[in-house]
Amino acid sequence: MFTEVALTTSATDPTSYLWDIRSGTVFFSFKQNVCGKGALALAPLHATPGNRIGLVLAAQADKAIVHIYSWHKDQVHVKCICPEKLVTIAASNRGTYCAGGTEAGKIYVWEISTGNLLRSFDAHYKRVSVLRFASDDSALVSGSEDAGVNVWLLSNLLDNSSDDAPTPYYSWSDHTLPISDIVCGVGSFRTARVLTGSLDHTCKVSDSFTLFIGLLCTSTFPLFQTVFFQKLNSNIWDLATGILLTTFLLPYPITALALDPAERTFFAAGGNLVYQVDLYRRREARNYGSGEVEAVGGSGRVEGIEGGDGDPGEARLVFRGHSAPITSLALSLDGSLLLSSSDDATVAVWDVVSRQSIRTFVQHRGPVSSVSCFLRPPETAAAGIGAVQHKGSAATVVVQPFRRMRKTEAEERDEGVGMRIAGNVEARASFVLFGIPGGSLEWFSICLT
Amino acid sequence: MSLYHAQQFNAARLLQNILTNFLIDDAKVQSFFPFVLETIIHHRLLSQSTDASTVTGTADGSMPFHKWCTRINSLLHSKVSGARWAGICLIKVSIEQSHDLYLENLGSWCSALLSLLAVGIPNNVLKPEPLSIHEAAINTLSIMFGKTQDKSELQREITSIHLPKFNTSMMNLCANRELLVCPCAYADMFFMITTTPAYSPAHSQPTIFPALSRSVTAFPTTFRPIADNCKKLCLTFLDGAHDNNPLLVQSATQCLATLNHAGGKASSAELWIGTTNRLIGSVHVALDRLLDSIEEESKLMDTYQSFEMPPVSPDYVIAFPILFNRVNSLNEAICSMLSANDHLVPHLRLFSSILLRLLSQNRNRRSVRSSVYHLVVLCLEKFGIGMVEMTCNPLLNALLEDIRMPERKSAAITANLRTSSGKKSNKKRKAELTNSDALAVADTFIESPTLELQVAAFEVLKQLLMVGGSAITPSHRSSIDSLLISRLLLLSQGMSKSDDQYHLLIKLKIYECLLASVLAPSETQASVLPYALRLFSAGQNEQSGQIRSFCSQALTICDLIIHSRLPPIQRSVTIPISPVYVPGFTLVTGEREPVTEAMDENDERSTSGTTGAFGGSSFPPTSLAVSHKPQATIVTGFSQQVSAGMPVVALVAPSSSAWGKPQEVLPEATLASSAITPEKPLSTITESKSEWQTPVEPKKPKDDPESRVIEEMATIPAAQLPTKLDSYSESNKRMIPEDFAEPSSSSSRPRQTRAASDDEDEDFEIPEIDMEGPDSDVETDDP
Repeated sequence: MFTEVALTTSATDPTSYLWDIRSGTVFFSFKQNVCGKGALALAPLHATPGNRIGLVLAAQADKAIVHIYSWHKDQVHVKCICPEKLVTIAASNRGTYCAGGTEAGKIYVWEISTGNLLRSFDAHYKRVSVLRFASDDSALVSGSEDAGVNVWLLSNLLDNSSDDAPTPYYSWSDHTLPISDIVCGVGSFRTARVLTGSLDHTCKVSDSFTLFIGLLCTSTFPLFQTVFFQKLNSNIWDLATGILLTTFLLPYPITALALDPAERTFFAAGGNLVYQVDLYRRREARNYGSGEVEAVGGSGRVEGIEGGDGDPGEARLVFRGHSAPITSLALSLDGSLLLSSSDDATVAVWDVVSRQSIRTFVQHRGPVSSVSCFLRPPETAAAGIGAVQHKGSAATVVVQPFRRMRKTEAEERDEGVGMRIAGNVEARASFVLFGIPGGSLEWFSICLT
Repeated sequence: MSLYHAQQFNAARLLQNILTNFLIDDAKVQSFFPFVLETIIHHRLLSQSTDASTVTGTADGSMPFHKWCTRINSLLHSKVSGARWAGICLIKVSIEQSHDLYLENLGSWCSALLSLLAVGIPNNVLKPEPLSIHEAAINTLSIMFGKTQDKSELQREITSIHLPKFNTSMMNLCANRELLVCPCAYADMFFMITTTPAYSPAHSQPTIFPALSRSVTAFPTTFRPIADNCKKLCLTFLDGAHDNNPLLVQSATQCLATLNHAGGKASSAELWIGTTNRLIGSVHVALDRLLDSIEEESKLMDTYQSFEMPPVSPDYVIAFPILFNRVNSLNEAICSMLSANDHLVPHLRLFSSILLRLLSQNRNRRSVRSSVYHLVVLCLEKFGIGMVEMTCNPLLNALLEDIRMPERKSAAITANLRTSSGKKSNKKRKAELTNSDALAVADTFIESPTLELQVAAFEVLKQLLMVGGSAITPSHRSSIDSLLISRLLLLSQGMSKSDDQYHLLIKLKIYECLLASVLAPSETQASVLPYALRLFSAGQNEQSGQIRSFCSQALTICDLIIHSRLPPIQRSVTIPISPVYVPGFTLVTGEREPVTEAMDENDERSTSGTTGAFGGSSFPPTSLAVSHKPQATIVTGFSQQVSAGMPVVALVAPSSSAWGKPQEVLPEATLASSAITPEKPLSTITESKSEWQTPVEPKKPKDDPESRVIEEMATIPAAQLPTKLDSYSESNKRMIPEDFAEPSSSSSRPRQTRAASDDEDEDFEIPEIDMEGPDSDVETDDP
């Protein structure tokens, strides 16, 4: 009834594939898509709750263009010419906003349905390597090659009443080498935890690379904030140390991360291997039948994760099989299957429990740059009767080409506020922009679903 | 015969029985009908599949569906209106229960029903069809067409032929106003038939508008020809002139909001924007007339087009009520057109400033205030932490004002005698009321914001805590927590009154807020947990079932905190908290003087009384002792505990152990209490408090704690929160415990004996808490 599919892209092969992770069958493919690591974003369908993916946004590796695909055709649905080449891209979980990062450390935020450029600002000193929206869309987390991780409140970022450069809500600078991946945990902004992975230079001597778990738990914050600002007038670095939970040291630079849906364990790709790191471990049972479970790390401690090589005890926690560095990781819905894409042009499907590779997808003709896993969109179901039935519900996400410039104030006034008209749930989506001239609150533009 | 077949057999027999016994006579069908319908619905008689009946093969076992359909058709053409009506209802039941029946008979039933609608005067009867038949037919047809939505064949054969007729006949019937508002639900019809055959407006609900909405939503293209007429129809109910049934206005606005579907993919957005634009324009026109005496500073409004509305009389006496009504309806229409989603995030600052301005400008208009609160809840839900960040402090100040402790007027008298505070009510009673009067009628003087406002405020507070519990400053947190706890305790002590609906509702809301506070602790405020656990366990024995179930649910949640399933990942050792907190405290101490003065100026009472002795370990049933003081001290204790690197969950452990073994800590506790002597400097108190013993503080010399307790009770209501709103800024908040601690010495001593005796005399003259406020006032006045 439900099928889980993987969407894999490559940085050299212009075809992206949508395939069944359990059978390997290819259901669908996108043409002319050349996108690098972190340059693929999935946006949900507006009208449907949950994880039905409606749009695929791909920042092209070789030019300043974002391709937007929908499930109705394998060609580009909308082609957006961007002011700069984007190296990474993210779509908010409700599909309203899209953020893109550039080589120079700039972040652009667009409204997907109108294509309006809402904000562009200098976020980092170097290339933005990864962007993620917090799971309740209240914040945008950006990681960069300048080794910093910034957390931006979306309400500040998009605040149109001030033109000042936004300041990050948090700024974590515990890493010392480029950030390679970020995972936002479940929950609202108040409770979520964030996992950041990096290639960390300071540990080069010991040939170790660190992985941080920062705690995006705001509860620790206000206290420190007030106190520190009053007392020490300190920089934000002090704040950041207050919330760092655990640092994991892995034997290879981390290139990709995946977090178990229940946050019991995470997977970190380093080199050709994937390491599984359990966040809880069972202590040796001293008495018969009584093993104690304890949390790993915490309190900003540093946990070393031993490499697989030559260490039989820990080798159990390593997934081996790729012959080139791994670029991206994804977990299936229940976290029982792990997918890893690699520069060796393959995508492997692993059984998490046994750590065996159960399938290898080899259709890509070049290094695979990203893999993502989700439920199969109904639009890609077989044609024929099914297609007729889906005609009524053939929803497309409203999308306009991204603008290259911010709107002037007058234009903004004319255009007004986005508005989603509730109504025919199964209707086709369409989109029109309108302005009601005049007063401050009475402007609307419509995003009709 | 298998069980299934047996059931099938029974069902067939039952249906046969119904057909032969109850539906046979047109004249009597109406009187039997409720029973028939109930039987069919209860047994789902019609949902037996026709396939199964062929399988059984036996003549008796097969469902008599053919007979059933024949009977329905003959009922439809009956001369008795009741029978026709019953026929329509049976069709509805049939298509609801059986897909096969629906498919088989759709065409014939459709045309039969349409003929009932269209002709208005059926073949043999010369009077028009009764309302109930029209109404049932419209509902049934609406369902029929709705079901064809995803079946292209049926759409081609049935919908495209019959739907236009249906639409036009609906529009024709709109002339009949009763049909716009008429009984529709089946249950109502039952009621109507069984009790009064006459039409009862009490059970009326609009029929045509929902049917129109459904039609336009499902089949926009077919609807297009009548869209304009339909819009006009909706607008006639928004002009304010009718004696508008709110239900009717509501359904008209909802229908209006769906009309933009008629535009189809291409132009529905244009339709929407046009309608919205004109609605706004119409509001402008109405307001121009209403407010024409007001000079506008600037003519910034661009010209809006407006809908044509009937002109109103030049006499304002006649015109204004209509216009007000019109503005109201139009606003409702605009509301129904709008939605809130995260496209609005860029304008969040504008929203929040408008909301805050509304709150501050309408200090005394409770309805405005409470509706603003509802809006705030919505915004908090939609925009989360961003909204909290923008509005937190001013919003909290407003909230704390509205959910303050119930205040007693008599408290104001003393305040009046002592200082000339600006309360209007004081002036009235200044001269004539003596203290004994105040005592005698104290109960009637309890003053607190209205229920509506309080409930709305608690809703906001709950949402605020849930969304941004940690973004709230610790000082605000502690005042919120202590307010919640003391209000709950106060309610639980007020024996006689706590049963009424008002108190139950408030109590439930406070419990919800308390749970939110437990769930969203800021770093220092897991301290509320022990109190919360006590209160929730007490709440489990509450009279009201609602509160009981909520409390047991809350306890389950608390259980997850105190006995966590997974070991917690520890945090926050890199920055030791203890050095962090203490400077914060001393910092406040430094600022102490001015604040104290301010408080003294405002109200003497605020500095009296609360010595902070807290009958900690076991909450003696009569003691209401919660004040800022213990709250603050526990905060210190907990924060230190946290600093030691305890996992979050473990926060509870020390406290629970402390509750468990009061004896161990006793010496220290007494030490601490003895530390609160008149001339003790403040710092001493805070320091001694910041140790772990304070939350316990169990036994002290007999009369001492009780009297203090009483005094606290006396002061909490009047002095603590309500009067000190403006002093809720961070530094001031921290001050409160200290302020209470200091002057306690001067005023508390003479009062002790009296207060204590009150308590021990078992409410000799005064019913416990309620009188505490006045009591203490009397005391202060005596000297």
